[in-house]
Amino acid sequence: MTRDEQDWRLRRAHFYESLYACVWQYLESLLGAAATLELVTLSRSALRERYPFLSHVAWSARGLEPGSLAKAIAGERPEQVQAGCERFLQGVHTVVREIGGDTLAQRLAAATEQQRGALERGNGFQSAAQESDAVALSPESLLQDMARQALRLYGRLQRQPTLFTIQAATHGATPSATHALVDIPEASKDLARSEAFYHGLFDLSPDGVVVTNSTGIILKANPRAAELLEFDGPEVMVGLDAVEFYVNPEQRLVLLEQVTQRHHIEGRGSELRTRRGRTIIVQASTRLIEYEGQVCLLSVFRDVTERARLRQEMEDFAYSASHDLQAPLRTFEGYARWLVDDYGEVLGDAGRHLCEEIIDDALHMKKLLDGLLEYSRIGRIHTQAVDVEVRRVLDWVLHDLQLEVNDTGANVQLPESLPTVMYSEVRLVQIFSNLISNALKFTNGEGPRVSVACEDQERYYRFAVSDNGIGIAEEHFGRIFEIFKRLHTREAYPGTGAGLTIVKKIVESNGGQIGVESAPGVGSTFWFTVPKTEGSPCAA
Amino acid sequence: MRRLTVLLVEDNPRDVRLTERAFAQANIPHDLRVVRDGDEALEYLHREGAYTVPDSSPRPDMILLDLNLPRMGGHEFMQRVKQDVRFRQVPIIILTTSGRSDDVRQAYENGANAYLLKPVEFSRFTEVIGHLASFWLETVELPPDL
Repeated sequence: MTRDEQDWRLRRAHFYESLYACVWQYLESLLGAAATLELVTLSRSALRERYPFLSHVAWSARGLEPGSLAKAIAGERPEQVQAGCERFLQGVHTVVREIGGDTLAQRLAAATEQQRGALERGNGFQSAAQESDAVALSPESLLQDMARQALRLYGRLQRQPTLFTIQAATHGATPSATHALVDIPEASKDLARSEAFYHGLFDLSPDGVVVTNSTGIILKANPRAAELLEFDGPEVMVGLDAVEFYVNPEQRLVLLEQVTQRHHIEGRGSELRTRRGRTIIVQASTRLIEYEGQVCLLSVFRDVTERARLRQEMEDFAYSASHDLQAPLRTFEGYARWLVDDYGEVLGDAGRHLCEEIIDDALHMKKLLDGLLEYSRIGRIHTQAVDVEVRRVLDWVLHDLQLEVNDTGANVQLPESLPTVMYSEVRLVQIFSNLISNALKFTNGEGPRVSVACEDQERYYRFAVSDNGIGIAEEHFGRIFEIFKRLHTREAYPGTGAGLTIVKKIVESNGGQIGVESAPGVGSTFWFTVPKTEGSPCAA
Repeated sequence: MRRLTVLLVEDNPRDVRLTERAFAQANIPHDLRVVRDGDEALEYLHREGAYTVPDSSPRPDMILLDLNLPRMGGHEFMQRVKQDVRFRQVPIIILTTSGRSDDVRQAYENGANAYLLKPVEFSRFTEVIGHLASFWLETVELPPDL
């Protein structure tokens, strides 16, 4: 990453953190912290796929966790950061409009724009306190209740939307720009509209939505859920025990336990059995909600059976291809060696040399196939995550790389404190082994200095391997993670170009991120994150 | 050193040739008999089909078995042999390219005595064959009536 880009990122993070803080203060003063938090969560969840970094921004009942935006955007492309931050803001405005009506939305927009102007002029952070004076007359508790209620509508949809509509109609639609916030009938109309909005969302959702009570009995399901699970209609599903749908019922129990602890679980894959006995693979997000006065589980799930099948097929293909391609290689290597050994004199120097090159290439191709094989294995072969002491892993890796360390005269520094993480030990060894051996390999002749760092962040550990080697130009940052893409000849730096691709796939399939910061001639830092999990011990 | 009679079940003629050469280079006194798949291997053991003359099918000291074979595959062949009281004491060594954990597990479950991966590098292959032969010839006690 260039210094300019880093500066840009810092400035952007500061800008949006201030802007978001203003939005938060404004909404909190009206709606209360709990509803505001709900609102923020709702707004960003829709953008989760398009802008994953938004999910890493930490919001709590106190608002935006300072510094968490800066962390979340590290390694993201500038356009992506800019677009995501703005879309999130738009998302908040949309939800505010849906639950609070146009007036509230306009006021929020005005406050946001004012803050934006102030920030752009470099006036720093302007408190939204003066804004809240303007609405101090509003019956806050009522508004707060309404906001919470509107946000809960997602779960209680079919209850007399007409009541609100009638009320709104009798009072007429007379939007008063200044006093609409205390105008209850006006707000009720908005509420009615938001109910219709969520009703539509629930019915039309391309994903299945199911609400279960704490013992797992289905209280509500949407038409798509019925379709996915092959029921004639959602009403038929009410009263059934959700655990019955699980191919492996233990998954449900684990989910229940985890969702109780963490309040929400996102993107969990499960195998379900439909009413007709077909097995489907779904990806589900679940959270605790209050529904009709009790604590319930809201689950939204998507059918990924076809996607999983294609992926499996692709990986099987890569696996068998790399195996079948090995057989001819054995012949190339074996026969070329045979020629050299038994017919060397006839072949002469030139002929022997050609044979040696065949042997060389055959062995290189074997390594390429091994890379492909390994790549296809990650995700296909399930490796058990256990408590792994990172220090032990690093000791092991360095022991394994001792020859390279001694040959290059490298100085390898490890941090004093290293955590224990939940990970597959073999995979963690693979990650560090690849990153450290790259750091030892891509040197410019001087004794390489390699250091490993670990940062303990709120939701994950961030590990980094830095070197003082040849570095990488920024335009190649994406390319180096692609399979078999290399920046140098095999003569200059041996290798297959599969290592970083494998590392990236391991990191990402374990819910982490990976990135590089580098400058030619200065060195490179490869970093990756390991999500913390419930009960995983802290730094020791 | 006594001579080791080996039944090689392998369909790829080039692999057969390389295996023969590896045995020769490893300096093991051996009698290597080759069949191309599980069906032919059973005919060999039962002295049926092309193997009715006893001299054409000496009882093997060990079977080297590829898994990926036309007609009857390696796993099925092994199940048949291990159910047959006359032959189940003959050591079966898997020699294959598949490192698939399912294959390894199933092979051992079916009673394989060892599971070897064919190395691409011929010098490594010779080493593997050398270790294998000297282990079964010099280190272990083979079943008595062989």
